[in-house]
Amino acid sequence: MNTDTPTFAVVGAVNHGKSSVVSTLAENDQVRISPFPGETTECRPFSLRNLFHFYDTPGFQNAPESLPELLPAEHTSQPLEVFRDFLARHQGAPEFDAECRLFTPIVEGAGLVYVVDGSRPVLDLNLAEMRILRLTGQPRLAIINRTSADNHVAEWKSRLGQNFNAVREFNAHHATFADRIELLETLAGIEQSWKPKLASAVALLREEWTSRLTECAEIIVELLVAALRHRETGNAREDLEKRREVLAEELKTRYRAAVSRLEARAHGRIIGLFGHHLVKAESNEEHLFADDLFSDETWKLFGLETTQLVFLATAGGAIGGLSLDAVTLGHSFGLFALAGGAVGAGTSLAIGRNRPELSVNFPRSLTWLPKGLTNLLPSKLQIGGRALAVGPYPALNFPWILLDRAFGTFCYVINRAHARRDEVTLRSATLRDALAAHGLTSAQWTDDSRKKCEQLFTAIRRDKFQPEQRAQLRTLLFERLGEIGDVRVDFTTASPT
Amino acid sequence: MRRTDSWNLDDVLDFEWMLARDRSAGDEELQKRDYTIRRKIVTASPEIARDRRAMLHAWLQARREETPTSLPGDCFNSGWQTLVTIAGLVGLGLGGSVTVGLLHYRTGEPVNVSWFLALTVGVQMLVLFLAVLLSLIHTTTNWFSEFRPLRGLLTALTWATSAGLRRLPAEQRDPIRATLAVIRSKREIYGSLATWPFLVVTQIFAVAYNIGILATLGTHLAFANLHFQWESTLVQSPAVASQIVSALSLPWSEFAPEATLTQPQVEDSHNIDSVRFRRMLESNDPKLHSLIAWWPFLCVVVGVYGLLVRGALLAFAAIQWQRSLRKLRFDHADANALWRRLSGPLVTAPPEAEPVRVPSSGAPDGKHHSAGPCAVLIARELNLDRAALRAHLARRFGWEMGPTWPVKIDNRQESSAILRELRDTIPKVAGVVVVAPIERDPIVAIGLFLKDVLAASGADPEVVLLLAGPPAMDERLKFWRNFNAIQGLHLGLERWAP
Repeated sequence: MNTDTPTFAVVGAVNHGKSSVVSTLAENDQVRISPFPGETTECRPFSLRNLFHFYDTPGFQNAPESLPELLPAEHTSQPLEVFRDFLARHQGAPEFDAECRLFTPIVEGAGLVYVVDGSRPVLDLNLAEMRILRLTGQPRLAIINRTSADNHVAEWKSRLGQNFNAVREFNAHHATFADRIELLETLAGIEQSWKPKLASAVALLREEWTSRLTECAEIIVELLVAALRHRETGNAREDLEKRREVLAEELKTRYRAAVSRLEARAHGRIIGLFGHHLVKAESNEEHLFADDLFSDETWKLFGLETTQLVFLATAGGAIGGLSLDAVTLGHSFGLFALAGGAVGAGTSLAIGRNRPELSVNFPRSLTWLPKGLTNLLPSKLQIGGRALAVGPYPALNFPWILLDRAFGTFCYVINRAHARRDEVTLRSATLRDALAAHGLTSAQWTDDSRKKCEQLFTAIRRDKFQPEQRAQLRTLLFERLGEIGDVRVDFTTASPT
Repeated sequence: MRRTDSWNLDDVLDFEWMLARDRSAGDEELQKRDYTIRRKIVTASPEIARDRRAMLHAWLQARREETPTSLPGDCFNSGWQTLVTIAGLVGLGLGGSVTVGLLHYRTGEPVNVSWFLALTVGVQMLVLFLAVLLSLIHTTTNWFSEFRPLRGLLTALTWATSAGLRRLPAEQRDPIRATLAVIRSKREIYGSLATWPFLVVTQIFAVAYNIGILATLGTHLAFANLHFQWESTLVQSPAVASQIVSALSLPWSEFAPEATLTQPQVEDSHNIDSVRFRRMLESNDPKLHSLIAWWPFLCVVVGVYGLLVRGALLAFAAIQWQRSLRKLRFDHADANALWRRLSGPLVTAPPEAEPVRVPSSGAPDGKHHSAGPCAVLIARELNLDRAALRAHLARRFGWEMGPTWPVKIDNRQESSAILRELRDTIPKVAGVVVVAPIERDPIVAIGLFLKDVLAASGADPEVVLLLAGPPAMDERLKFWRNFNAIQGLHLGLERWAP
């Protein structure tokens, strides 16, 4: 490890949550955490993108007997020498094995992060630990990490305040990016000489956060483009007439599976972007979402409200009709626009937030056309062609549902601390409620944003999505992601199962 | 029929297996089951009610009857019988084969006595001599004090696995370490039991080997005229050879002179090559009698220095085995808990009931006492209702709450004065109870304190670690169980939800 990089030894009593803090600070969900006391038996270094190094250390096992031997450090200008002597004396002794291991990074000059569980009372044992850490003379920060409902925080604060440069409450299992940045800034404050390095490291982390949001917006744009344009085709066989329904169902299933795969892949990339390995977008047995993209539950909960859909459908129908009015050079007096709007509104009202059935394009029976002529026709027309086709899916709500689910994944992942080890399946209702509570669903966007977005979706559907439109959509999504990033959404109380 | 307190190795194995199985059973369920067993035993033979060995043995028999599956003791018995049979048969076969090979002298040369003695008795004596020498060196100089093959194997296994174990999550690592530690602690309890069966089986092999030699020699003698001669580069003089023969036959020369040789006979049978032997046979040389006269001597040499010595060793090992079985105290934590269940009354009372009053008793009656006062060390951070603790100790252990001290269970240095007081109290108490909060995480500092408590308590009073805390914390008992085993703490672990 680079010694110029700010390095901290995360120390504390057994089972007070040191590894959880390291896991969250280093954004590493591979740090071993368990309710078994003494899980960590060796010092392990973890790095936050080489900006900070953290040592996860075993808990104190014999502080009361170590303390008397370390007391001479109080009266010397080189306190770490006393700790080095201690290491030399007790290396390999089972009764001081943990102490020797946890002192090793300290004698190398690491700063101290003392983690305590604020839900447990302060014991004499902890006072001995605090005293030992004070004897090191190293810059030190205390973190109060509560693991259960019991509250002894005030007691801890009064004790810690006497021994540490700073004391912070930090819940390793619920910390967001902002909490982590705040804590790292506090670390910068405990030692003046570290301040410039830590400040630039924090600035770099902020920059990196912005670039992650941009990348995430691009992933969602790619998903929308791929899903809105996706088309599944199948060869029409001799038995087409006999097995029409069966073939149509097969094709629909293939379409749904392919689009779901596209979505899962995009979600997987978002999850990966934030360094989560325990959250799986899709595996053989489990999916991140309990409800499928094409399930009725999903369609009822995500996307736009019926009124918003009616408005969009009316506007869309009117625009279509207007183009016919234009063809008649206005002689139709806007009747087509009116009719188009009415049809759009009627259809949308009838369907509401239900999922419209996928339609299958069958090859038309134009056998009377000369074969050569049929082949000359554009394949899209499918007239007399050899292919059945499903998609692109024209449902108005489809891109909004994709968007809400992608935002939901993003929101969950940035609010999930890396210290958590539970496997998760998100329920649509839970996720929607959590997003809606903070005004983050697509239905809660401003009319302006929604309208602009819908225009961009139409461009995607029509295959007229220009690079500048792509940039527009990315910017729009980036802003929404930023809004989500600023909000703390507690999924543990919303209890995703 | 076997005596009720007569324990065998299969009993010990079954007993430990049953105790291990009981560890995962509910306390109340065990109380009821063992109370029923006790009633049956005491009704049938009231005299064994206060005899721990006999009572535990009777309990084992009752439990065996309730267990339909094959027990480890059965497996051990069949394995042991197979091993003994194989050792006997291999010994017989090897002894017979070696003798057949030695007596097969078709080259026309008589059997060389030096070779015969070396391969039949010589090898055995050499092995025995080395064993005695090592044992003497060990007892007089304390060399090889660390030479314990089984312990070495276990230590090597622990060392080899420790690096790998460190990489495992604690959930897997701790049970493995605890299992290894339990094996170590069982070895401390039953260590000598592992030595004697090994010695018994090797001596059965050796006895069979000697019987094989004698049987083959006897068979040959019955059907052939066996001639022996002697030759050696080291011993050229017949006089020296005769002295060796006389020395060897010293134990029986007085009462069986025909089983020894005179000096002329030794001289006559020196260095008889095939040509000379053929000539002697053709001329019917009277010296041929000297060649034949060796067989009684050889038979008795094998009988005395082989069979008799090995038989004595076998008897010694078998006696020692029985002695070590008789010496078993059955006073480790699990056996103590069982004994309490078998010797104490079954008391069930609603929580609001008056605490049970333990009749006051005098000093405990030496070993395996179950009633009397107990010393109590209570972790300082515990704010306990003393009356509830008193009632629990009486109900659970049959102990009257004696001298009580609040202690820092994680600081043995600060608790040293109390431990000194405890040491002074030990002769007057039946047990020592350390009450600790179950929510505490077991750490080395607590382990060291508990070791000091065990040291202060000595061998006799039972030491119990009573983990107090709400029932919701029951899960944490497994952490403590593993910790106790890993730290090698020989104390009872009990749960109490006040």
